[in-house]
Amino acid sequence: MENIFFLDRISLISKKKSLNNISLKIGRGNFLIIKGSNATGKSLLLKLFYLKVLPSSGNLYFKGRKISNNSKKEINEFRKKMGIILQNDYLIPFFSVFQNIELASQIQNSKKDFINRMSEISGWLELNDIRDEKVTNLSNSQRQKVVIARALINNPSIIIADQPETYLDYESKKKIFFLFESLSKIGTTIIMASNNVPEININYKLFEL
Amino acid sequence: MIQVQDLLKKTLLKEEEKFFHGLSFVIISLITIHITIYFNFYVFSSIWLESESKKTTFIISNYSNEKKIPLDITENIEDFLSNEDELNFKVIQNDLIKESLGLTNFSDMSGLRLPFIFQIETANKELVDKIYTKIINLSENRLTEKYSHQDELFEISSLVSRIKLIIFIMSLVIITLFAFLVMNVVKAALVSNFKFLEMLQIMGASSFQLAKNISQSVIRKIVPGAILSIIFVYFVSTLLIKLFGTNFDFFNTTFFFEINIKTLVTLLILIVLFLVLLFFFLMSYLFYFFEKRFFDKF
Repeated sequence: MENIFFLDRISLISKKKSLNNISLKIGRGNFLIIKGSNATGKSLLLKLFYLKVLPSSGNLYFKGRKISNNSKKEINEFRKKMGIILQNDYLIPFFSVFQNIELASQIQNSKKDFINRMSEISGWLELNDIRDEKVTNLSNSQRQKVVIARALINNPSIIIADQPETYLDYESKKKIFFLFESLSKIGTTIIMASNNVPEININYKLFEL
Repeated sequence: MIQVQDLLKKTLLKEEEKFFHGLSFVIISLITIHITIYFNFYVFSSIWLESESKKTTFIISNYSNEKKIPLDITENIEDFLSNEDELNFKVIQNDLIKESLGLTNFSDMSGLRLPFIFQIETANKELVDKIYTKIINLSENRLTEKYSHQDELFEISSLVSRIKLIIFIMSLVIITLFAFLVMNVVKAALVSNFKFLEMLQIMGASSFQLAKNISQSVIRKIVPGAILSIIFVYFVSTLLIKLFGTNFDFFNTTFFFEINIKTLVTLLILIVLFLVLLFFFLMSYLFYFFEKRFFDKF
């Protein structure tokens, strides 16, 4: 199986948190859940996966390539292939749901098949009725669904999600996890941080902090 | 279809839009006023100084028993000067001499003895010396004095050069201050919206594209004020020239038209150049800003 990420004895040491000596291999199509209680460094580790931080020590390999300070151009291309769901949504408040999702498509240059993909994702996440609604008028759970849709729009090969279940009701949560599981089965790598491992019957690997 | 640039335009510096229009109008007016003054007044004075410094005045005094220099001698001198190819000359008429000395009431019948005065215009010093020697011969050894205008203009030209330098430095200072002010306003806006920009970066937006889009957005906010300031300064400078006749051939309408068109074209070229330079300066700064934040620092 192709290695997507290889963490070779990595340490991440910030002022507030530190993660030491982590070694991990994540292959194509893996569904990895990073579990840990509050403030254990889950988000920090996810930052490493979406290449926002570099390790303090150790080596990080992405698709077999060593990531360093000098590979910014490559990193930009890698980031375009990822779908990121963060705890804070960072949606553009004065844009509609449709426009917020379209923005990701524009930045990642994946305009091809955008309309079909948009209607497919809107259907999955029940966003059809609020497509033209301004983001400011949405509830927290609707906003969270928009964030998930934004991450999925470009058919990413890697999805990195920081507690995507936040604000979602049980049914929606179940739906999202099943969606992630089915995406991982067709080759999408899913890396997700969560406080609680979902009580839903899906296949995943667990990494505890 | 939304564009990333439109988004940046709507998100960043939205509140500062009017401030930018006003600021660019005031500052670019100041810059263009400097440019106009430089070109309209001081470049012109340089031309005037240059042409004036080429002039040499010759004064041939009469013998004590002569009321004026004999006609055959003055004609010989004029013929000689006319035959010199590189030379322009002008004989100062008696009426003009009397007028400038305040002696217009004196008639030709009075005992007034007027010298023969003429001016030549050449930068060739050897030619001036040659003419001087020849004139002494032609004037049959009458007292001949030679005054180079360059010597008289030395102080003025040095003063004009200093003023030109001050204007040039002042405009450079204003341009630099403006560029830094714009840079700081943009930086403040970026810092307050950084989480949003960081999300764009995480999605894969390159620092270069972000820097280019934001710089374009800022320049677009500056352009209306800049255009207004050009029009404003152009009319003010035209009015000033008209009121004070600062250029020395003011009453020549062709020249007046020419200098105004030249001013307008020069202003347009310089403002375009200034905006292009500001764009590249901003882009470099913003590129550095985003590259510095490409990775989170611990």
